[in-house]
Amino acid sequence: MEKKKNIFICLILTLALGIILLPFFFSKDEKGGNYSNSKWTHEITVKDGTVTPGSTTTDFTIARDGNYRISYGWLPEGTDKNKIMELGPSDAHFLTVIQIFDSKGEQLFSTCAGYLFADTVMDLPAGQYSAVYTYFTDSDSFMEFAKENLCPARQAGQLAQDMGFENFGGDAVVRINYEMTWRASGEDPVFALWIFVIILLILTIVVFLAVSKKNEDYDERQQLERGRAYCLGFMTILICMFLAITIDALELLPVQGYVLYAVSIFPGVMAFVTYCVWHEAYFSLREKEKSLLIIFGIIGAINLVISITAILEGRLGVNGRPGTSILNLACAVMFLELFLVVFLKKIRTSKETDEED
Amino acid sequence: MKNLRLKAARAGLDMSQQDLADQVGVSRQTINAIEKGDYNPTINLCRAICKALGKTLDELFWEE
Repeated sequence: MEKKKNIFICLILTLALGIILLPFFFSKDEKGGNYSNSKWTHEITVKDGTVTPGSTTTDFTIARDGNYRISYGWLPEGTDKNKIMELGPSDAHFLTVIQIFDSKGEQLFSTCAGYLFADTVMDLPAGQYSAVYTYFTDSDSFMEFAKENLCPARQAGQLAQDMGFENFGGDAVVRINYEMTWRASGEDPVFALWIFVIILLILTIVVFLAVSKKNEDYDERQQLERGRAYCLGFMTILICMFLAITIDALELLPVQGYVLYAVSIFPGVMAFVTYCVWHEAYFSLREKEKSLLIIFGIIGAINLVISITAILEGRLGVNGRPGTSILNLACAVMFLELFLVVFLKKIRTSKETDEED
Repeated sequence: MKNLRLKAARAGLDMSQQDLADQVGVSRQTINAIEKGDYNPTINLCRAICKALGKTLDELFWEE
């Protein structure tokens, strides 16, 4: 019976993990699928005050008819990835306009008024498309662009000077890394359904565990200790929430507010589990420490890998502030701490048993 | 305060903490905590331990 129960729990956890990872598999579809991401580099040469080429083109394919959300990012080499959203025209070097054309040469989209960020939804039939990037060909064209789009004419010269458009002052070669993402907007309901299924699964697992771990599974001392642990966890969360509200309201840290609130939950869980484990009240009478030790270790390691990857790829922040990716880091810290606590407790318990023998 | 009488009674029957814990339906750590005096058991658990060890409440838990 016990074995069947464990198999059932493993099946549910595997299923949950599979569903969680599903979108990552979808995101690796070939170019032109529901979701795709392309990266490429253009090399722009400045010689005698003239930029070559004046524009560059990248072709892409849409495999199925539908509404697509298309977004771009561009990153001159040497730019901090976390500050990509704060790039100004001078940071974006020579980029002025992004346009999208269909296979007949008809323009479908164009950025305008110096707003160099492109993120739009378009109804695109299946076919070939081109994204054209136009650059300032010389310093005069930048001045014209600044006058039209950025500031009054009398300030344009000063603006150009302030921006330090140094590459126009001498010969240079600039490499700009581009990234384009297109995703079928029709996927949104799928994502909503995915989130719904995840929540449903979590609830199912919680209810299942709550039902299977009846109070009879813990002896009277364990129930007493668990009560104290709940109290400790609850108070920890309250204190952390208060700190999060204070930090968010006074903007003491450059962190997104929702991240602070989400991270506040982790110390509470850590306090509860650590207290329970250390007072031998976490495992019920029928549970073994070994299986949980493995689960904590695996979850901690997975989250650590995800967060390290996010840090290396510069995905840890939004507008230069830590975003939701930091939750993986918090999760990794939590599970590795719990892994350490269970491990140390296991060693201590085995020593006690040896002494008793 | 350590409950040495409980430990002696258990050892007298050649039982380990785990054996006694299994008989009375608690964890080994709970028996350990009672013997070390870290936990005061309820009267129900005291009775169960006494039955398992063939002793009376006075013999195991009454302090002179």
